[in-house]
Amino acid sequence: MNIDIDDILADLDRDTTAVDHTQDNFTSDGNTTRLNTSLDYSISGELNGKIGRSSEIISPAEDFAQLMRCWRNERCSPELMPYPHYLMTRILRRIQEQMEHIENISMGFLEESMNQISHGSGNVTGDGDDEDDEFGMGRGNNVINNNNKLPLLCMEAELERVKFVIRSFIRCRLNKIDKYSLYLKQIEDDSMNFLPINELLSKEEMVYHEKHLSILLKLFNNSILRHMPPELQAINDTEGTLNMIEEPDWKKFVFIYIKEVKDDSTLDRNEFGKPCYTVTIEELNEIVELTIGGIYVMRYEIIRQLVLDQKAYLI
Amino acid sequence: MSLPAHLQETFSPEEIQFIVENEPIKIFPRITTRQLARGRVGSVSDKSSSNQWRLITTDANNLNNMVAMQSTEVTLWLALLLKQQNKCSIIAPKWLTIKELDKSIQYEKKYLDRFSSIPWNWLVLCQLLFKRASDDFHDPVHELRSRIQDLREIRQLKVLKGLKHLNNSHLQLDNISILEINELRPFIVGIMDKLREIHSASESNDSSQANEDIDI
Amino acid sequence: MYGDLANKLVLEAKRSQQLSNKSKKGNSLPMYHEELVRNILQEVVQLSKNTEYLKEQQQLGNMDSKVWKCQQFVMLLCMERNKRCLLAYQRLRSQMLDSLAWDNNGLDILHDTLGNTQDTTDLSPQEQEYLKEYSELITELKSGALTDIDLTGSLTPPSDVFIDVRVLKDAGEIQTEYGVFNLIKDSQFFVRQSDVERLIQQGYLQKIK
Repeated sequence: MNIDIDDILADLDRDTTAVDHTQDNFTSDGNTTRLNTSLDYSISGELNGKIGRSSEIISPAEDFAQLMRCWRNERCSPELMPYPHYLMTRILRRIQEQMEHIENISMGFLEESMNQISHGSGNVTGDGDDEDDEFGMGRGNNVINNNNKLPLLCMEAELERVKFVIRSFIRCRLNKIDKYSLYLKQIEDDSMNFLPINELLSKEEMVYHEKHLSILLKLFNNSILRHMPPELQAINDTEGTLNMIEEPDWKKFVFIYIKEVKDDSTLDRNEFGKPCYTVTIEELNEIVELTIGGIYVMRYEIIRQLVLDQKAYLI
Repeated sequence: MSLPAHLQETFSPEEIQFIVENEPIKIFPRITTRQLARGRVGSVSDKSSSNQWRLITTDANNLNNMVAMQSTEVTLWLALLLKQQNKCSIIAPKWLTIKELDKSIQYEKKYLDRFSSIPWNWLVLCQLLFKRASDDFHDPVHELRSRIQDLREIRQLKVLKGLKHLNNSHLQLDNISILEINELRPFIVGIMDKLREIHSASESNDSSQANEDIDI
Repeated sequence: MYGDLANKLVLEAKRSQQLSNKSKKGNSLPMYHEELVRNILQEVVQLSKNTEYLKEQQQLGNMDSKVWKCQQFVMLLCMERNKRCLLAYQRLRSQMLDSLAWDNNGLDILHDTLGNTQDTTDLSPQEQEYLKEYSELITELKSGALTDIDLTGSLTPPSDVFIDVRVLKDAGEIQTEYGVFNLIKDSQFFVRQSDVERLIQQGYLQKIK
């Protein structure tokens, strides 16, 4: 029998990816009551329900694109957006695996270069047919300037990029959690809220919210409130002449891009036959048509549902 | 604050560049990465993993199947990295030629109330390519540059003229680019929010006055 | 007049906010206005006592009820105003303390004065305690599920993960994930920026643009 090593390796590759995706499904199915893998970030669920069923495999590229949208939405929206639990789980796992992968590769290179040094070979560049040594003299032991190290270089750069987005995303969320900490506390006790707090926030964010609020209240109490007359000691004073709980500015103007979709039952047609969503600005008694592919500046509350349904992006 | 104040209002220019860098672009590789089928047994086995791209934000298929001088498409930041390493040349997008830019300029001049449909990332992409891949253009770069500058100025002028239409309802700004949005955001949002507040204050004033009238 | 002191405090808060917004880096808190805060608190206590007194007078029938209602309302507004100003002042300072903690990687800056711009004597004892606890919270958050991300890392997007450097003075061999580099004067390398950040700072290497 003639078995080629390449074929075996190729098979292994395929298997690994298969495991990757079954794990995806497993974590999400086994975790809570959710039914599919991509309910993340959707409240209506309808749109995503379809995606979840029809495509079981979510490619890393799609996930990253989704992360970029979450990051941009979060940065532009006045309120705290729902935490994309499953998306984040998948991406964080990929990061961890990639870090291990990179470490393995670079360990290999390190051993290689050590061997070459101990064998007295001056040229650390060693392997690879570096046909275009365009960097000229003085760079003989430039270890990464050859084709073999190129993928590693790209993978490292990529890792830094995805880490940055997550970092900026989480820091932005923490900032909103701080800004609206009392408001979040208030909606936590309110069962009528559109999303339970443990879905709005990640586990880590819940802990952060709780603890930060408690040390902040301690500071306010010790330096101000406890020196006040008893009737003025409350921090979440909503009875007085002014509400002391800061809520998101629901009417804040935001830039939105209306996503292009093929068919959506909520789409209307405007007078030119172009597909559009119709929204109403109640304060002004105005009806506005938002055409597909258009860019608008609108009050947040009016297009909020479109954003949550991923029919529009904040930009 | 866990996010610095200057990042709460809008994106930084670096962040805008970062967003644009995630878009695909066409390149001519100068290297071949496609593995020969049933190639050198043994030598491949221990290196194949380190020779291969395995990426977590984009499909690595194109990178693993590059053939020298056969065009392929990769993410812009990867293209720029390969370019920096002299492993590819970048194919300028179709709209970024003197001929096409002249058309856009004409459109911008003809229609004073709308923007031409150059891509949403045109300015940032130009800046990046002029800086990092200027030798890959067929047209003289200084001429491209001056046309881009013209386009920018015409569009800026339109925006300035449009500012008098700022209101407390909404705006439609089709084909405005990401960089233009980001530069205008603090100003436009600030003004429109204020107009809205003034409007609602005058409304509630009216109604409270009406109430007082009834009281008396 | 009632509320003047609180007004002073708020203006002070606004000024330090503008200052810290202007400088993107190294924002530090101005001195805590302990005396002003204490005086405002005293004013509130005084207002509260006055209210009690007037209430007694009213109950004894020594006062017109319309006048009493009006006086009571004005004093309540003053007290609420003072409370709001005090809280606003403290909240702004707590936000600045938060920034400080993030900038310092969640390390305890009270005991590690290396390279930090904040004079800890400018903080009230309560603020010092808050800063310590918040720094601990950041450290806690950094570990766990988000360890790989380095939450206190740079908020500027990565560019040039790899850079060209020239060796300015002999620095011997360094080992990185990419192998061993022998840093001989005038040689050039293409390296990961984070690997050589220190050597650049120390003047061994120079970034080539």
